[in-house]
Amino acid sequence: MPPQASAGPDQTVIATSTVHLSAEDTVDDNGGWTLRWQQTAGPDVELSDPTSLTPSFVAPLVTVDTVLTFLFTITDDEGAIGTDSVDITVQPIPDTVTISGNINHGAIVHGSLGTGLNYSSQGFATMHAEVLVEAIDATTQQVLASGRFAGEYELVVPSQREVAIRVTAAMVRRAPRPLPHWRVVVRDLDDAGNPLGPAYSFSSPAFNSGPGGTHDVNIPSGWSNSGQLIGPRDAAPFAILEAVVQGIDLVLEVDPSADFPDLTIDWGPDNVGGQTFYTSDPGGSNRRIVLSGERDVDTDEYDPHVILHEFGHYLDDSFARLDSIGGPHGFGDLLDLRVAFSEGLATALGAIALGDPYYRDSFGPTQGDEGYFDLEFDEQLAEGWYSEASTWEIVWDLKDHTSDQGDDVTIGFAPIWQVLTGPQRETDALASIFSFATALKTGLEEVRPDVAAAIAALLSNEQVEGPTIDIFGSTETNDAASADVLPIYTPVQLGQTRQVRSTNEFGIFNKLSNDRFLLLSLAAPANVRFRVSADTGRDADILIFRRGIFVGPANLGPANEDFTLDLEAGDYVLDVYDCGNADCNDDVPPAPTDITVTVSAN
Amino acid sequence: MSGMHAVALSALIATLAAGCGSAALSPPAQGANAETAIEQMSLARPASGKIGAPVDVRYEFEGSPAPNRPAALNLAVVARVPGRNLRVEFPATSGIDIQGETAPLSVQKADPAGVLRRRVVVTPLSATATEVRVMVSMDAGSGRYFGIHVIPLAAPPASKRQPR
Repeated sequence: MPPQASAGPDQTVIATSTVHLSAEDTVDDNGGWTLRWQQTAGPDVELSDPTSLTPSFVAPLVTVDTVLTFLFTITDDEGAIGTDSVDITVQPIPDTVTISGNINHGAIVHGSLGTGLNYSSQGFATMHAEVLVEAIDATTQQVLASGRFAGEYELVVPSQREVAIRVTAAMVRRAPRPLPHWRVVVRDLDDAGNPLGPAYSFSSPAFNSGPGGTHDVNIPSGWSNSGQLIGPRDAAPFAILEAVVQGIDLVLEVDPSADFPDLTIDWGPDNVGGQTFYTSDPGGSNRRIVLSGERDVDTDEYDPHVILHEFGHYLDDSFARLDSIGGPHGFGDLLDLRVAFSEGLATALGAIALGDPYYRDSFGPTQGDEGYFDLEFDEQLAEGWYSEASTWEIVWDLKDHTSDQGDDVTIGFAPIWQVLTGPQRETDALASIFSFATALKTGLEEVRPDVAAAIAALLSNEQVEGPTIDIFGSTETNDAASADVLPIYTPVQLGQTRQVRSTNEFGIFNKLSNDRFLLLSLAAPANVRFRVSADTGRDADILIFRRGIFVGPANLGPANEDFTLDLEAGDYVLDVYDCGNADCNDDVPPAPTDITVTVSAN
Repeated sequence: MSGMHAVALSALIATLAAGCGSAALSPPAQGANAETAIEQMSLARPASGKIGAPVDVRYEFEGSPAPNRPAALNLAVVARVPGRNLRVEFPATSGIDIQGETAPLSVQKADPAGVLRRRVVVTPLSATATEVRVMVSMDAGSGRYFGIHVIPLAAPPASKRQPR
């Protein structure tokens, strides 16, 4: 019986593609019979190995459908021959082809706690953030096709063109797409702080679009596996977006129609170490995060907790109410209550978004060292309403599912967000742990009194008055062992004079009792005169707020203040401080300063 | 955010270790008392909004540093809370040459009662150099914290907190 040859099924292919013939279904009892492929029709092509079962060839360029025919012959030991033929129809390359693939970025994670970044385990991760992807002509840079993709892209481009794939570090979702909306852009700055372009972009090596196909884009980190810089740090802006998208996702879980204000993130290898902060203009425009990028000193692009801490400030500013005056802060500092809450909240929001209570910030040579702390840990140092650690512990414990000392409550993120975007935003008091926790506890007292009691216990464990808390902290007894701390708000009425002390006992600029607060309640609109004075040589200042909005005065002098304001009925917070303690007058050294405030109807 | 490269501290330390001293620049003669009370020294500003090490870095120049004119810089580092593994070092800063006690300073236990003092010689290499940086790190509580403190070469910057 002659051998039974099989040349495989007919195929239809695109010109220039690689075609694989297969005679693997041929029955070859001994495995040593003679095999041969011959082309019998169509334009000549070169087979890779005409004597193998699976040769290949490159389909020729054609202008019309063209059939190539191949004859497969197998000869056994006795000379018996079996044959079969196969037709390969080659189609012309279409005018346009589809190219697709994954957008991957260099990903570097932290090693074991305290060891900083682990370069040896770096790899590529597929983008979750939806970014702009463009196919560009590699010669003219003309954009041939574009779209926004998360992870996998697919673009239709002219065939047989030298193209490159350009990916831009910008997440944009705007009208006419329905809510949610956002626009987050990562850009570089020059030495003078001017943007080098609208956003970072990375272009892949050029390739021929040919008949289309898969072309993954791998954006390199620029680092070797030993932490040496070997190329541009192209992946950094995309790693930053990957962190931010987790913050966006956190909000979308509880507010699927959120409208995120525009956010710009400035990062660059020239951003000197330590320059990491969130900022916005008065009124909330120009929201911006700046991240350090100085290698071997302080880089932040692979520190998601750091990125999301700043994003937490952005969320606070955009959706809740950010009353903080900012400034430097260190572990254990006794802070202005606005600063303590803002910093603690931002840290907690980042950890909640990541689902990871370990805050980690790499620094030093090859980013091999790191600052770190555990939000779950109950720090005992300087607990209280002036402590950012107390705030981050409280907020984290409200969300987490772990019961530990003082923490027997899990409410999830939704109630936290509801308070931040509701009562906290409208509170008559300064945005602090008092306004936040009061709203949270009050909102739950009727429907879940057990949870409200657990929240009170959580606060008490952090030396914050829990059971009788109110937005002004009027029942607070934790005075940080100082006579110049309580009351948090000193009540004052029209026609009254009050004296408060601004002190540098806990430091300057933004520390506890640099600023002292008075609460003025007006039953009716009034033209109010404010007189603020201190001893000669001091510089007493005052700022007046109504629900977080600054209402005056327009100007402040170098010593005492005397001015009038037209005010509507309502509660006003008077923020009083000495500029020596608040670090706003170089001619006035820090010192305890008694400030006299007189409020009268004009 | 200069792209200039600073002279490697390791090279400086190696030079010091070889006993070569400073080939072209001699430290200025000591003038002010190196043990100035810390309350009379200026406070270096932390560079970042991130949570930092609870450490104050105070400084005092002997003389005024100017391009190619060295000045001694006295530092006093004080922990604000009890801590461990306090480390003080000078990250390379564009356009600044630092000599003297530049090796990282490290102590196992730190507390507010203790003052760590250091004396280095700072030479700006150009008119664009404006500051010296000091990095401090310390373990405190259950965590570890670090911060970069900025020492201006000229007069202290205008107060950061501005009245509205």
